[in-house]
Amino acid sequence: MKKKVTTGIKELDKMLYDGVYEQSVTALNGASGTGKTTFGMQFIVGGIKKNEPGIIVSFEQFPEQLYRDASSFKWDFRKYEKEGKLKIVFTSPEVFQAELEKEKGLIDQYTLEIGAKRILIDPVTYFRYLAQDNGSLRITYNRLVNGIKRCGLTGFLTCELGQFYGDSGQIDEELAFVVDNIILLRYVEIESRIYTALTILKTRGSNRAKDIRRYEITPKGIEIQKIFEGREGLLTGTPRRTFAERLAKEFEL
Amino acid sequence: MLDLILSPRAILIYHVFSGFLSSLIVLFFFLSYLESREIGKIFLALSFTAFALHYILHSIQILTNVAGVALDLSGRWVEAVGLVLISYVIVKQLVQSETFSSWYLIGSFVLTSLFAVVCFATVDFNIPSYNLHWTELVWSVVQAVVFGFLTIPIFLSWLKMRQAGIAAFTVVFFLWSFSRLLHLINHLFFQYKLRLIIASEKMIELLALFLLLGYALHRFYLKGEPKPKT
Repeated sequence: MKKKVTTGIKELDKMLYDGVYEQSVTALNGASGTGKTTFGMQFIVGGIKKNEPGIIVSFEQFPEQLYRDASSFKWDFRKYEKEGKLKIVFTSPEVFQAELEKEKGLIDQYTLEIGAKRILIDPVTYFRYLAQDNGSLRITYNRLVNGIKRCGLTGFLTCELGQFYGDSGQIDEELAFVVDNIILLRYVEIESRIYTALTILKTRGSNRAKDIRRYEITPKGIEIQKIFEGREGLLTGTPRRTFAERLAKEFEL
Repeated sequence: MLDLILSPRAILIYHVFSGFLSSLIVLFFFLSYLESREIGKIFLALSFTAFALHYILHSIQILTNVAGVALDLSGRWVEAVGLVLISYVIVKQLVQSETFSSWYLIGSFVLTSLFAVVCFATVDFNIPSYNLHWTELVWSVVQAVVFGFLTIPIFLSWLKMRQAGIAAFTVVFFLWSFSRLLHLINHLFFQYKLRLIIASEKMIELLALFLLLGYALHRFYLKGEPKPKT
């Protein structure tokens, strides 16, 4: 039986009942600015701290940008790279896809080179633009997930959601079926303030917390906080007070 | 002891004091409304105004012993209005439908007013010993049932929220329904002659008002506390 590994975020590990399975693939779905890349980087850092080197594949952000962003959380990516604990790959989705399908492609080489155990691919949304139709997209995602597992890596894939608010039903269906875990990051508006909320929608072969929890991006990274109490309809982006909360408001002096 | 509690003077003091406590609660709800602008608080303030008025009318009735039937029935009608208003606050939040809650409010007013009119039309006006057996019965049943039913959603809300305001109202609603139940039992089985139950009823109602006032004072004391510097 496979063992579980930390996501690098203590509270998220608790929600996932001790983290994610080794060689599993997790999709992080969220709109722009919800902290998908930060979640992913923290996952990689969490591994490095446990002596599990990692690879970051970025399709959008130059390594310099990643070094800078990581340094704001006091993660020294340059140092990790020098120590052979991290490899940052800036490439295009087309090249990455081709390399992943090769028997001894770039990812296999990097995995062997640093003994990587983890991978972050940021974002996988680009594969949607490469695919002709939903069928070929499903095949692409399947190859991607299988490629990660074949290399013996545990993966985090970030996936962009177009809508900031409103119905959350636009999670990439093709990806949802092939990944093992799905985490949803949302913006929530409550009393003229914007909060960020997290929930775990899927875990293959494991139990999970069904809560919708608040989280914040702090100088130490992602911090998952309490569940949203007294609110319902959070995943719609415009929650309502529950009956109990409404009554409490009326009767509180 | 029972003689003392149920003496006319003690009953008068009880009514005046209950009216005073209810008025204080009105004040707190009104102040709270000014702060939060939650419309439900106005309804609660109006509801307790009705309860206070009910106690005052009873006090006048005891003091003057003149036009007892009219005062008694007016007191009951005003109390019914209080009950309608307080239940409206909960029903409105429960159903979340403006149309339904408006109809609930209008319908309840019409029903209680109709009840008062029927009482006026049918009771024996030969003061002071008019027979209000059936009105007493109907009124006790209605109050016990309404307060009993209101206790359930408010108690379930407390289980979820564990908030002091809801806790106070859960206990108050329970006490009110319990005192009405005692009243009903006394009326049905003891022809309203069991003095221990009469005394208990009054003490329970007073306890409920004290509890609510205690909660209000506690809340306002906490609000007055200097906030810790951040």
